[in-house]
Amino acid sequence: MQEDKQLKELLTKWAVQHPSAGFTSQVMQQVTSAYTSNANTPPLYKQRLLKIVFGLFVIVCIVLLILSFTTPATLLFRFNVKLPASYFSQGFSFLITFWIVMFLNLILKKYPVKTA
Amino acid sequence: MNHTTDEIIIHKVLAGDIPAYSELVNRYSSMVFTLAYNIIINREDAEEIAQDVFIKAFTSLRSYKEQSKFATWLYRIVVNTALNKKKLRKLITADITAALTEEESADVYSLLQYERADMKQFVQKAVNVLPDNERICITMYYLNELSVNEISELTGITIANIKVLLHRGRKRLYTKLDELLKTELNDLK
Repeated sequence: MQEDKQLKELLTKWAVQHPSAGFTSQVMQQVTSAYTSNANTPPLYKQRLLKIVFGLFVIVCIVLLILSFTTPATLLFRFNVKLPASYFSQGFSFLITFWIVMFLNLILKKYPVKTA
Repeated sequence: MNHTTDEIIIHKVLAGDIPAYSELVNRYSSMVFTLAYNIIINREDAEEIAQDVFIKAFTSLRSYKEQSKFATWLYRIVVNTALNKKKLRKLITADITAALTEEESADVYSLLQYERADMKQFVQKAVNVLPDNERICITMYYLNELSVNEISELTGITIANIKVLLHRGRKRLYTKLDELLKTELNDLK
């Protein structure tokens, strides 16, 4: 125990390393710039707005569900547009390409390509 | 006392008093730098790591839970950042279970008798020649004042192995220091 104390004393006296003289000011400069850049960046969406949209969506779903039980099924309008068959294949290829790009983007974000 | 003061400073910083953070940087810069240096053994890299650590700590200060000491939380960031820099996932703990050899070695009492101007150089030299895991455990235990449990939590090394590493590190440190000082004295004669 005493030996431990003595060794601690020896190491505290002689083995502590000190960073360069301007270390604190350098850190504070970076901290301040990180704080100001963070403070000036407006959030992409407000957390409350997201909650309101989600709440509205749930309410609308519930209302529609109740209406479907209480009122007879009548269509408000008739959707009757004939689309050419090529539209479907184009739409399908678009979806495939979109998801491939999305996955590639995710992978590249996780494992960025190192450039020399 | 330090603990409560740290908490007060953190509350100030979180309330928007950014310059108050410099107090924490001043208080822990040497210990953070010493730990980083003893993991990486390079002054420039250690300084870079220490800077990164303080910036990371600042940006994630809200996630700091007051159940643990601020210093322990900070040292965890140091270990992770330094190991990341070293491209290691965790400390290498091989060869710890080998039997301890009780060699003839000097003790701390005899070493404390030396009062030399260049003692710092000798101690640092002796610390630097320790194997990585022994040096890191010695630094965390004696300089960063972490308990064996905390070291185990930070490094992922078991408590039993940490005790072995500390024991070996101490012995090796005394022997190396004694050797260095004796060589120096002989050279002077």
